[in-house]
Amino acid sequence: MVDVIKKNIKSVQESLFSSVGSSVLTIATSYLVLNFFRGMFGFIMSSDKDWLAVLNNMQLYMVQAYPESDFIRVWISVGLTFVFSGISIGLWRSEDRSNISVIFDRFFKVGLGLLFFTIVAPTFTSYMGNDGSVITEEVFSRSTRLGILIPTLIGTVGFLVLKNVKINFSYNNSDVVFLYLFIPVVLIWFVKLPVIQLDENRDRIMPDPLMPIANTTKIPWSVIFVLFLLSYFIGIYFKDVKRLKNIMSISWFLLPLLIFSWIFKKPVIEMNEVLTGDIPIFVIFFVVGLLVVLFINNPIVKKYYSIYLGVVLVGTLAGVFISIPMLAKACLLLLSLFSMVVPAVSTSTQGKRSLIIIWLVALVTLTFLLRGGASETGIIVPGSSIFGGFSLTWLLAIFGTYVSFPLGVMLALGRNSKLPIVRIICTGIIELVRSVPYITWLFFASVTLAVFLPAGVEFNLIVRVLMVTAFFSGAYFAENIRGGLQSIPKGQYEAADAIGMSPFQKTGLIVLPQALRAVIPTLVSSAITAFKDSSLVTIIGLFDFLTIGKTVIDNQSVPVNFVGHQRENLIFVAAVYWIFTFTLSRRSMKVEKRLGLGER
Amino acid sequence: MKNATKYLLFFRNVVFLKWAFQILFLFGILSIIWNYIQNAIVNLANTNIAFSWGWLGETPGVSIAEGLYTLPISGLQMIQTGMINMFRITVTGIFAATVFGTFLGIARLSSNYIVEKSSTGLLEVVRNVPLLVQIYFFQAFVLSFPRLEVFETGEYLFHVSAKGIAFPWFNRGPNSYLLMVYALFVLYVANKIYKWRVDLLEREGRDTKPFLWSIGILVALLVLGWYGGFRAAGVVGFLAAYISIGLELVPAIVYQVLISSVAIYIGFKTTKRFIDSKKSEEAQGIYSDDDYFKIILNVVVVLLVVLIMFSSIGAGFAGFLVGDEITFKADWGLPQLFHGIDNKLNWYPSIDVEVVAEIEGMKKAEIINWEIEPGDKITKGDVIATAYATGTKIDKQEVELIALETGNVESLLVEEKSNAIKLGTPIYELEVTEGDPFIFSRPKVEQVGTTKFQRYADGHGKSLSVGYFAIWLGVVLYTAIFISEVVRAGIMAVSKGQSEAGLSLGLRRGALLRLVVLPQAIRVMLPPMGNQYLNLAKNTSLGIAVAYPEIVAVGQTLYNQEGQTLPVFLIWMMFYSSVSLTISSIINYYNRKMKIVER
Repeated sequence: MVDVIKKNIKSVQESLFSSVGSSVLTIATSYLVLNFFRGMFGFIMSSDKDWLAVLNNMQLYMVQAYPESDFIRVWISVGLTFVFSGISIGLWRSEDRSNISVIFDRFFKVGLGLLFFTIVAPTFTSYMGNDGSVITEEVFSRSTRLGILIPTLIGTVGFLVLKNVKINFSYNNSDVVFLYLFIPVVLIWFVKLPVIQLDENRDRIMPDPLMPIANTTKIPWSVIFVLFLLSYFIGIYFKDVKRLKNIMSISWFLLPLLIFSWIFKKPVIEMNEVLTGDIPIFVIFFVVGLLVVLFINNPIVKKYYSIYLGVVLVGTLAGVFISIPMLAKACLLLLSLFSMVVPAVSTSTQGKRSLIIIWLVALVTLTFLLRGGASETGIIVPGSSIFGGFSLTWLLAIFGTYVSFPLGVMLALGRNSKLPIVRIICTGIIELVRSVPYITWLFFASVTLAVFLPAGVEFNLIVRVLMVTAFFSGAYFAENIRGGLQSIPKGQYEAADAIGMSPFQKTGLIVLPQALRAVIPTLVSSAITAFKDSSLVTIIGLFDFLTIGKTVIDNQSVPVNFVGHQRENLIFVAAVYWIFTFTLSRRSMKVEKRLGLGER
Repeated sequence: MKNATKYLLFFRNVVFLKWAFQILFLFGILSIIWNYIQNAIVNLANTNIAFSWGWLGETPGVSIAEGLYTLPISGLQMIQTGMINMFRITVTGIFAATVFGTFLGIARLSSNYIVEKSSTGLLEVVRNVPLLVQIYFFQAFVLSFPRLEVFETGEYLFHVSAKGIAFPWFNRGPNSYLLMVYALFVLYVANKIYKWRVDLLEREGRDTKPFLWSIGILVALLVLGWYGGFRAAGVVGFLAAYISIGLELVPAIVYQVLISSVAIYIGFKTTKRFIDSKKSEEAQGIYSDDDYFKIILNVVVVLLVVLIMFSSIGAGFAGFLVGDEITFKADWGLPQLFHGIDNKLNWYPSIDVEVVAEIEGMKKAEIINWEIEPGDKITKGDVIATAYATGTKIDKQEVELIALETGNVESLLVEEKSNAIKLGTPIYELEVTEGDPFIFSRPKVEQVGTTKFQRYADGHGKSLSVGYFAIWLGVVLYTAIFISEVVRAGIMAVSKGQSEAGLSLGLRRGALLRLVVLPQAIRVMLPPMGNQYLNLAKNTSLGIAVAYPEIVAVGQTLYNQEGQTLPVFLIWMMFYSSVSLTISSIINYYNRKMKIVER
């Protein structure tokens, strides 16, 4: 025991007080950091801060003015996301295991940190009042300090003992997610916080009926947690079914669309129209697509493929310039795309089958979007913005990535292409988009974009922002992916050519999988940037998470006066953003390690 | 084989398919763009807002909170103010972020546990919170301080109020710009001397003390400059003035011809070099389809530039360069630029001179007779006026008011034989021509006239508005964090053998970092560093969120005023593109300079 302490002291001395300069640095930094934390603590605890301004506006923060009667839609969407994540975590579960002492060690460290800050936290704090005088007040009394200190000390010592006892129990690393989620779910049932109640004079009272702050959400969250756990076990059970993994991938692709039209639109669907309009069109398109695939794969057509392609391309080009209905133009474009892609992909039966499945999925998606997305909305929201709060931030982040990623891949391929005109155009688009800050593009979306749309066509501001974001993030994604494309050795291309692959096969099967795998970390950091940048929509007047914290709550005087409490709300907003981005960046680091990137 | 391709059907020819596809693609893109432009034309016609640039010359009728022109007389002047406000943050921000980021990057590699962990902690906090939230927080933080009116007037060391923050600063006195130009010249000389001594060291092998020499000469010349040597820099002013006069004689068409001929020359050069490279033995003079395309593209680009230069756009651009004041009402063009340089070098601070007690017990003064008038040159100790001195403890008597500074009188603020005025009231405006070029002073809170409003006095310390402070701090902190990552990666990219070799040569830690590690690390650091500078320049656009009038905020005000959204957007685009180009070309220049010269 003495040896251990001696060794520790020696290592501390080596790392902190090895020389005079090092000692000075140590002391100066500790002084700064300690004072920062003490100041921060005083800042948070001082009585001119009203944290109820944050706690009481949770609903506003999450969904803004979304009608309460339709909350079930939000819950189902959240639940679906969790169920899908559960199944996916189960399906793709890694086999890494850790000993239980790792968890004890983590809790022990948290306890140590808590102890440390309880000890160094200041008793008094001072702030400047409105008249310029300095007000000092007690924020952390001795009894409170002891009240925190003693249980924490007991807990920390307990975890220290547990950590050093050799327990032969190991767990899968994925399981621990559920333990950490279980803690907040339990907390929302038992932690009680004051709730504002109004008396007759409409003044705020700090009331005694203590209630769980998440009183209205505790049941849904618990149900979702149980479902999450169940789906995780389902995922583990079907781990070996390979087809389920494919189905899950497609479902993840479809989920955002479903959620979008589910929450955003509450589609008003008339069965009559669906039966007479949608389903026949759907069937016709499906059958025609099937026939085209079979037709192009016909040996006779294959022999004269060039002639066929030439005719189709010339037809499409003519279609662009002569005046025929928009639908016919779209069909021609589709046909020429099909004619170019099909022979490249469907060399085998399996390729043909997957092509048909993709066609089916795309048709379903399109029909669904046209029905659900373009129909009249059935949700009536007070105010101009139907969507707000964290949901909007989330939507912008997810859809920004979702739409811009394919665009980014295409732009990157175009920029890396051997065809000079394509290369010049793609480079031009990327550089033009990247040279201008995001905020000017947002202004473009909010005021200028409408000028370029056909007369009578109007999009919601959110949709316009999404359109612009797609291009903006797309250009950044493209630059990242280009880095990956350039990292692929020339031998890969030559090998693909040597075995007679078509350009499409070469790109899809050889180049892209390697290029994308190489740039996963930068792609994730770009996605994080997109998530952070989504806060800029505050400036053009969308009610996103930040707007709620900064403007909406700060202007709230009815029923309770929360004017002048911007700083508390901004700290809360910053904390939420921080949690998401920090977790995401840590996860991406782990993925990077697992894939063994950056080790060659 | 060559004959065989001749008889292939044309649509089986790879070259044909390739170019057919590309032309199809080009036409597709162009038709989409054309479609949107047509939409825009129809929509603009419907809304009765014709696309025009005329508003650039009109008075917008709005004021700007801070900057060069707070009451701009033309749209262009307003945009100019916005641009300069943007550069105020970008230039100082790049400097501050680089310094702070480098320190942080080195701290993150420190072997000291506390230093390393706390810098990492700072990094994780700042990096993972959106910049806008941080800027809003800084703004809210300053705004939470009391109003300036609750503080007493007087001097402070530091001061924070809802009006902004203020701190001691070196303020520009007479001849300060001359001294700055002189200092640049001195830096250049010191650099040359350093190189000369290093060269001598390498040739003769004896310790020539290059650092000591250059520092010594730098200090000596600076001291010389401070006591009058700066007047040598007046030459630059003369030159600028003559260049300005010369440039005024140049008509716009000369610029159009000049730019076109430069484009033709560059196009010709590159094409010729390309053709020459094809004549080498490797290429054997065979041209592929891509090569033909490259030559055609060169010609097309040159033709486009010439066409544009002689169209109305080119004429407008040349009008800019000439400084067409009638159209744009802004002193932009080249003559005005040089004229401005001359003006700046002859710039003197102007101050309001207050009445001081000439005899003991004097409380008020009543001016009888001014000895000076606007335009007069006065020296320290001159009599400027005669006045009656009054006070509670003294009799009313005649005194002479003495000048305290040397300079030119600009205007008189008090009339002769008017009512008695209190001590400390400004009586005349003076352009100070003699004194220290830089004056260190503390911030001062003063009252505005007879109102109850207060402000930070001009020329006393430095005060930053809330918006400036918030955007500056936010942008600098955010960029510094990313720069620290770049610095860390750069230092880690230098192989360990290099520092071990340096240590075995007997270099000390500082010298090792300065002579061995950093020069190699900079090579790795420069390109990502340039990206960070670009990000900083672009992030300044968030100033609009805290009401700091930079180019985006000013543009928004303008289009709200004039309804011209499209031209404003085009201006933003041109401005930011040119800033990006400038920064990246500077970085590329250094990158090329730093590259290892391989044998």
